[in-house]
Amino acid sequence: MNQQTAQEYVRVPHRLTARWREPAGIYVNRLFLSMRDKKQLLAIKCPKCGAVWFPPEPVCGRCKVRIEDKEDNWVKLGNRGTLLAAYHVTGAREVDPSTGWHPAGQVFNPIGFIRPDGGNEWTLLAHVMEEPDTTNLKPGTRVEPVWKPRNQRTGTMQDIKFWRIVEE
Amino acid sequence: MAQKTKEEILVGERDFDSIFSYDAGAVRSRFLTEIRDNRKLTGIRCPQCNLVYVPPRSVCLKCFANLSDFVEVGQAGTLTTYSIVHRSEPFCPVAAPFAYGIIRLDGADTGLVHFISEVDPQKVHTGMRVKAVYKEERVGSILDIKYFKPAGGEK
Repeated sequence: MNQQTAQEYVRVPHRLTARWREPAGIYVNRLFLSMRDKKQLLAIKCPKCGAVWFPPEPVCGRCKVRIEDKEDNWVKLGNRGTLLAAYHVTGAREVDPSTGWHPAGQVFNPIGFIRPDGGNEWTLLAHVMEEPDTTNLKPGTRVEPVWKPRNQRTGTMQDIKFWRIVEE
Repeated sequence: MAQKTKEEILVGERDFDSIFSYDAGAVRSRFLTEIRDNRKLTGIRCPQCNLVYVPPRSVCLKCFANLSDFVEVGQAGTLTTYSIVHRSEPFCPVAAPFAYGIIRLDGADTGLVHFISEVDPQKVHTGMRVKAVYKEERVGSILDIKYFKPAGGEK
């Protein structure tokens, strides 16, 4: 079996599927309930350094102290925000390895980095923009979320359909 | 917000479905085509430390020598370890309950992972002798071996 013959190369087809259920944890669960029931974004503020985190986390990403689940630490974010940056996803030609979803040439709306009112320099939210053209999405643009109707809100980030530009 | 009340717990439904393929490479392609065309199991011998790898690989794990010395190994082998699966998953080619394990084929120094069948899963044990059962229609996949079945005897 050692002689060199014309080598055939095999391509191995694969398919991986998995299905599971996943709770979001106490803090994000509270955010999702608030979004679903009150259209209210919640963040959490580090009692030591004052950084406001979205999504709310039990440990400050900056100074690593525990952020207790108490009234003083929770922050109700405003219902508008400021755009910091926006970008197009252009490279998704293959199946998305995290979702298995194939875009098949679909053009995505831009993703925006948004700082909701009431946040500070540590607060950042990434979400879909309504405006398809990134040249209209300059840093500093004021934006607001467009919510799904109550009967379609299930307590996920997709309870917000997208963010749209708002004139002020 | 902080008072202790019973809060509803949301549980997200997630699913993952990824369709992809990969190139088996020169060495592993030989392994698969030999199964498909000749029902032969192929290993590769390291010229320096004499280890025989099944499935074959292109570099020795121990001494990093380049390997090219293909050898045929036995159709039967010894089960070195195993597991019984009790839950079916959509990506799994057979339904639970089933046994799968690591088989050290005769003439090989490493193990090949495959299904163990034609035996009550409860009676599968390490050291049992097993041999390969092939599919009639083979396409160049590790699943061209249907499973390994008991070959009688112990080691």
